[in-house]
Amino acid sequence: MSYLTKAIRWVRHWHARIGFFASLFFISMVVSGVALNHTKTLGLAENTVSAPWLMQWMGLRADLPTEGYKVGEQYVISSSDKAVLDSHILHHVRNEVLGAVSWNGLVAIVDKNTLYLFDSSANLIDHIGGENLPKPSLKGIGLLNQQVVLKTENGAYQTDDALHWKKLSIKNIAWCEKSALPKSLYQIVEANFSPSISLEKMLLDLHSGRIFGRYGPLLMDLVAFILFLLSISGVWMYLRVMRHSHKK
Amino acid sequence: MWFDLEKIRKTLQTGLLVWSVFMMPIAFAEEQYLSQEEFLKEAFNQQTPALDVLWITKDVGMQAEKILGHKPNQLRQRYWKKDGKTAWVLEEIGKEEPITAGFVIEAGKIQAARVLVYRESRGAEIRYPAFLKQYLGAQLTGGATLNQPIDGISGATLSVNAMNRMARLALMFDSQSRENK
Repeated sequence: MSYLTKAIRWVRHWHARIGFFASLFFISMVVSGVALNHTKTLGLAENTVSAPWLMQWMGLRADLPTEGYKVGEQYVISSSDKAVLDSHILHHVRNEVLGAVSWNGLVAIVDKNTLYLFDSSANLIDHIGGENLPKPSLKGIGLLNQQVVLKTENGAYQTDDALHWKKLSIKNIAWCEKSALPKSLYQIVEANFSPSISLEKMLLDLHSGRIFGRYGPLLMDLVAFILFLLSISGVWMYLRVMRHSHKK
Repeated sequence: MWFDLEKIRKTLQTGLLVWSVFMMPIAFAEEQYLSQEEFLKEAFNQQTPALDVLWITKDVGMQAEKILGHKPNQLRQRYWKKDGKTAWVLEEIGKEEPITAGFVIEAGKIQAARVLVYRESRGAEIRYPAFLKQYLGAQLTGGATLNQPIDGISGATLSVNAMNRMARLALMFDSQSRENK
């Protein structure tokens, strides 16, 4: 058997075997890649997965809040990047809540740089931040004579309309504090604060290999290189076949 | 070899790291081009009037939803008004992040349009006067569209669309604020 014949058989042998074993990775790359090209249509960013085994695999652990801010008959519960008013998700609140009070039938909530006003159904009335606040950095909220008082790094500011602010020189303001959540809210806490990731993030991690851990991206680099080699060997075998059929 | 592979590899690595450290903030940081205070001083000749509010009633909400393609973000819109001129600071998502823009309306026409804060990684060309001047004099038609065409910017389509929606919204809000008074 000539050296060339041996080489052809060797390439064909490994082309088939490597292709077979790598096909699983190729299929996942194709499926995730096509899906990611249509993120918006498929709503990948909006839909989440929270299967406990997957969260554990990805190293995401639950850190369920046990306290919240009582506002009337409702509770504002928050983590570092999510907040709920009982079972209503407060989509606009993206930082940890530093305080919440019930005010004129509304719920006034502060995080580190914004004052939010919601109605009892969690509809956003207004959000006041930046130059519309008396000071940019907030630390808490309280009530004084039925008016909202904001705690800032430069003192306390009072308002009756969340538009105009008056600096207060009073020291002993009752700032709102967290209290332990009643058992009736545990289910809501678990439903809202158990770890989850968007489908988009999951597919991105699958596509890049990060889902397989620290060396996952290197694994996908290897798969990509294998695909490259398979392409070269496939083209070479095809050209050989074409040349043979021409000779005949 | 006459060239040192190890040295070339290390240089490339360092270069890539340095490039990524400098490019990342440029690519993804929030950029404020004009503060609200500066915008208002510009709009009202250094004499910013007091704040007023427009409540988004059911009817106003429906008109806003028609313009935006979604329900308005909040039920109370703050604005400033003086000598028949109103100024609106609005936010609308371009691709993934909100763009903050200011519009000055007088006699039902846009007198000024400015980009205050831009947060996307691309498309910030909308802040340039060459683009924004297209909005000057624009009015709202019966169908709640602008009565003059706005040429887009290649690579900034979503940001341009967001600016258009905010321009239409500001004109509608201005009209409502005059009806309410």
